[in-house]
Amino acid sequence: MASLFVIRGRDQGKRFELDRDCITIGRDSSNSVQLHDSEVSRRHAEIHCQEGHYWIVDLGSSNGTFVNGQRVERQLLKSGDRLQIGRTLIVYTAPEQPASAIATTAVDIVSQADHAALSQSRIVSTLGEQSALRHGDPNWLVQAHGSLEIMYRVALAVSHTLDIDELLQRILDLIFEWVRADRGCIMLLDPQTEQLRPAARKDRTGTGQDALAISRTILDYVLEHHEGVLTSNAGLDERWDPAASIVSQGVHEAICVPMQGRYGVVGVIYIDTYTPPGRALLEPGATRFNQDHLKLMVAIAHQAALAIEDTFYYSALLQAERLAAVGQTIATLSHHIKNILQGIRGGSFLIEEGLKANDPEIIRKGWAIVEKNQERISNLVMDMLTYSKPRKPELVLAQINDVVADVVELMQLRAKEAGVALEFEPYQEMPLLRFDPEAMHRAVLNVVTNAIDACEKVEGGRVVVLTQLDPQQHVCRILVKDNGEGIPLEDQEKIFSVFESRKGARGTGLGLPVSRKILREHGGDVTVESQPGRGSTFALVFPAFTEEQPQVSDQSSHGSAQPPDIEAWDEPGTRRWPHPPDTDTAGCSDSDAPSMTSDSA
Amino acid sequence: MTSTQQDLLRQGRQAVVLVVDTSSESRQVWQTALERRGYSAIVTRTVQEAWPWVERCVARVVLVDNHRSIPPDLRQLDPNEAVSTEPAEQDLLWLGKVSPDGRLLWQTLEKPYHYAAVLRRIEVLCDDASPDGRHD
Repeated sequence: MASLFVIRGRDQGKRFELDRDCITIGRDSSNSVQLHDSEVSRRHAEIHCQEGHYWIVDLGSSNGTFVNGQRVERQLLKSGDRLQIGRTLIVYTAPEQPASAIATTAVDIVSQADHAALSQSRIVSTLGEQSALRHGDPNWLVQAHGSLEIMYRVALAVSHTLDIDELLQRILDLIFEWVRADRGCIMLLDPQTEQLRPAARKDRTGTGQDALAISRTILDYVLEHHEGVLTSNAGLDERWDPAASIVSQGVHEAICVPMQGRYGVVGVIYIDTYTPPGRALLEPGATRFNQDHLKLMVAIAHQAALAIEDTFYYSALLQAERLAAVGQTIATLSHHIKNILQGIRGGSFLIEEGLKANDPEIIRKGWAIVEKNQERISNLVMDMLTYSKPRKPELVLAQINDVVADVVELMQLRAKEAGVALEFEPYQEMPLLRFDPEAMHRAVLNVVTNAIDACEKVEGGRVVVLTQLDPQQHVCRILVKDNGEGIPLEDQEKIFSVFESRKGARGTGLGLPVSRKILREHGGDVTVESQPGRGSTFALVFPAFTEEQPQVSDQSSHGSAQPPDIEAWDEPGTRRWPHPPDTDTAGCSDSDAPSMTSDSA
Repeated sequence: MTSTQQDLLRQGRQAVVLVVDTSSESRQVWQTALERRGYSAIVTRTVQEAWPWVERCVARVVLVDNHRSIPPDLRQLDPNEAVSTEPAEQDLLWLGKVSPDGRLLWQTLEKPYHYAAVLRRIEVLCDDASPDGRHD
């Protein structure tokens, strides 16, 4: 039965069977498919069934109905189509339909009449997945054990990969280990064309040069009846006649089973074998494939189908998430850019006003606004670039105090405008450390900017930036303390997620994620401790490598320097610091470091 | 409100334009532009700050910078004015004419807008209203 499967939106995971000729979709509860999505109209769309085909019809919805990204008024649905209704993404799965022939160089689907060997083949046995093992056979226990083992190995194989090609190849390998098949292939139903296409092939000889001819009749039978079939051009009973065509053609046997998933057939597995005439005469009546092979093939195909369905829906979900992420990114960036443009227009407008009135004061005001917005767009671009790709920090020996001092100086004007006192308390004995000065400048700048913004509404707002060295943990810390609004506990991790801003229209939601990324690329991290109404302390921590010490080798090794418990650090001026490492020697050994008082400014 | 604004209000001659904008730059631009054209500009950062002025019906026109697609009805807005962290789907400037019964009749301009165009609209809206800016 055709169905709709919601893979994104508030109704994610719901499945709706299209069990009526007309299904309505909308926000209202009177619809057959109710979507809890404010972007969906009360009565948004309908799905009609006409002669076994499903059509989606938009009912004049406000936000439109999209099939595979294209807005549609009326559209024939194909299995696998992605329906976008409001913010909800739905995958349409079609009922199973017989596949028509396709031709590839590797696999030919042919009518039996066209193929000499196949023309005399007939279905000697069929099997649906419900059939059970025959307990009457004295060897049934041994066979059952073997079957169990092969099923176990198939289950392992399907659970270890989401790569369909790899999965199918492993399944064919397992089948060939277990049964004396000469050739095999797995064909999948293409959701777009609804036709079978070869997806994996195996030959016992390993050559794989010859086209594998598969009877269309057999494929049609398997797909229509959902049954596996065992075919042979040889008789199965003792009346087998060596004088018949087998003498000249040998024995052709084949097993073809449907890959029956949860929602329909996703493909078929086909194996065949050929016994040459000479051998067929020596072993009359001997066949390589039997009923047990057929049963197990049905079970293997079912397992494979489930795995393929999972992979398919996982891919669909992944794709939907990517599309959503791209959409969100574009929307967010457009919003920020619009605001910056608005600022530039405002500044330009004032300049124009000032020029008309010959008023230098208005011109100065306008120019200051333009400059500030130039800086904002420059920062946005730099943050986007920093965030968008992994990069290895360009480590050089540099003075972190100089970098932080530069940031503080740069931000003094902004702090003054916001009525916030900005102070720097450097650790005076800070040695030269290995880090990327430019990247670190950006990381500190973002955090200090946030701290100033957090204090803007606070009377007597104050931001203090400190540098510290911890020889015991071999880390350098840059602490940015503010007495601003503070951050609720539930938001303290969220603020490091991209596009999560607590600054409304002013925030890009990139600053802190960028800072954290930079610190993690240095093998460090950014952490926060905050109390709403009392302020926040951000700690930028990174390994304090001096010249002789190893560099950060892997940009992905985030968290290698354990961030400190900020509570353990005293207020500046009261902390007794370990002796800083001797920068002329090997660096950060703390074994014989005497204590000293912090030399905070 | 600045002392200039208070003076202008006392005079009761100038049309009062109420501007609600979280951006200090934008407030600065509006204040300069409006005052240079003879309006009395009351600039506030939040709707809460603006509310008393609306209540007293002193403004003829209200400008609200709002990135939400719902009208910034000053009488119905959430008093906490929770700032949405959702990416904005529309960035709008809401321009409201205060009707004699105190209701706000809104029109919108999409960002980035031109200040000159908005000022022209303000001029038209103020001309439509009563000369003393009050609607009692």
